[in-house]
Amino acid sequence: MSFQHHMVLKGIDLTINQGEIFGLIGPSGVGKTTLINILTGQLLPTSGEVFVFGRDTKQLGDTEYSQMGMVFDVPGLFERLSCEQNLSIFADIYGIDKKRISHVLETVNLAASAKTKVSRLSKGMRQRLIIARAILHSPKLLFLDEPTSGLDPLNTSDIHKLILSLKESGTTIFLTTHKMDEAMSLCDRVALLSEGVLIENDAPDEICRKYNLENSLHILLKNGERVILPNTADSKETISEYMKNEQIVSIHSSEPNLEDVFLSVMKGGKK
Amino acid sequence: MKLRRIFAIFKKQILDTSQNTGVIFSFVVFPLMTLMFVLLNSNSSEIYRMHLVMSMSTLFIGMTPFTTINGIIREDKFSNVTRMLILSTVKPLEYLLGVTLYIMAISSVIAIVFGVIGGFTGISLLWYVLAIMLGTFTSLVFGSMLTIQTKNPSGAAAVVSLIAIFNGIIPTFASSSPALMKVARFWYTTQIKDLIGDMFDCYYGNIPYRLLIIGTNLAVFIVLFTVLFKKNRIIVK
Ligand SMILES: Nc1ncnc2c1ncn2[C@@H]1O[C@H](COP(=O)(O)OP(=O)(O)OP(=O)(O)O)[C@@H](O)[C@H]1O
Ligand SMILES: [Mg+2]
Repeated sequence: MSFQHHMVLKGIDLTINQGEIFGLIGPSGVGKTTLINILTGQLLPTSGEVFVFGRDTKQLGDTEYSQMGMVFDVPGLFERLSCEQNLSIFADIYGIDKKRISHVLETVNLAASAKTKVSRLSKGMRQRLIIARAILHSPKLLFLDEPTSGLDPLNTSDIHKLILSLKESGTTIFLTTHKMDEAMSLCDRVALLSEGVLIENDAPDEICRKYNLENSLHILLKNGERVILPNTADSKETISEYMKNEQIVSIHSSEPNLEDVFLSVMKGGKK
Repeated sequence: MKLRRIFAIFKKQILDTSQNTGVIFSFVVFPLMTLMFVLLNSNSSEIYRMHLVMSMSTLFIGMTPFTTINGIIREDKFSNVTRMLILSTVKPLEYLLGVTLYIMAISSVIAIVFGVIGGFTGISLLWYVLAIMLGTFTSLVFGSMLTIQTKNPSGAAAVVSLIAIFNGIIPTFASSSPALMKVARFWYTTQIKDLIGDMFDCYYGNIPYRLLIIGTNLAVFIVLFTVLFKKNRIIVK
């Protein structure tokens, strides 16, 4: 995919399986939103083919769109209408039962604010309303572009629970994020996007293992020195030496995580 | 094309209006001014009233539908509402029809108010309302045609208000300047104003000629609209 000769995405080859949560991670400006725009048929790729529900995105129609839910970084809400009114317009558009509205508001924990005007909502409430709109018509495929960006831990964890429960009920989810812990805890599979190329595409644990970022022990000594040792038998001698001399203040273990993988990839290539 | 979706857009606009004083104002300002002038000159002649209603309803037709549809399309486009609607299966044409239906509905109420102030009753009131609706519809097509092109919201707002003023006021200037009239008579608002004048005078000889010009204006707008619509499709990006 390129914009005015500026190549943004190159040779992306990707399949999303039904019922999984797929996470696309990558730094800001790498093309995550662009990829979502392509998958939802809003942008046509400069070259190559994209299929959603087995249909070329050039030809997506009502059948496909009425099974897709989307949360973008741009809200597109009716600012002067209440939460309930916003959803009721979309219920009319999809031709679904109005009872679904209160149920969805309940699900995203906005029932108490049903009558509140959108322009008076807080950021977290807004985001929950956008998610409510995206799931109103019970889509089979949900696109979430940075669903928790800029939200507090409580809102974030609520949204995470919701995402997992949607997966339980059989929804396929494609999400983008630059929060590694989010990708780690939610996704069945993640792909790393760097400079327009997909570098990894696997289960989060697999990726960590592949990068062989070793388990390490962080030791703080009484003289103020910090020592990092590999969490292997090789470190046995050194540690027992420290212990004999009662030099240790604390020991922490650190498991490899996507964050490290991410950083090491961004700094250039595998170890 | 689904009626359900056109009505959903219509409903969105109706719900929005109650929260949108700007739009309410732009609809009621001309009938309200007319009523005020009539009440202030309570011993005014029939002629004065006729001229007042003629000018004011022409101003209404030339300006209000034009600026309102422009404002709605522009706001929805730049706040990404249009994009969300389209991704939720609303077709661009369904969206435009919903907005058009809404402005036509409110304008028909305003037209009745104007007609009653102007002293029309019975069947002549109906004809008067239909004339206003024809003018409103023409303004709406003209307005959407210009708006679907918009790339830059604040620049467009400036251009649109200038065109709206021109659109509303040209017929009044033209009626006192024969030179201007030579050109202005080919413009639909001039013909709508004269059509209303004919109705007051109960003179029907010129009606086919006036309808022909208005119809030609409308046809040109529809053709231009179709061309631009195919090109732009009112989606951002
Ligand atoms: N319509 C467009 N025209 C030109 N360039 C664009 C367009 N949309 C995106 N780009 C460029 O494509 C690149 C990727 O943008 P994109 O929005 O996909 O990044 P992102 O990964 O979503 O970033 P973020 O995490 O900040 O949301 C950027 O360099 C951007 O400038
Ligand atoms: Mg983005």
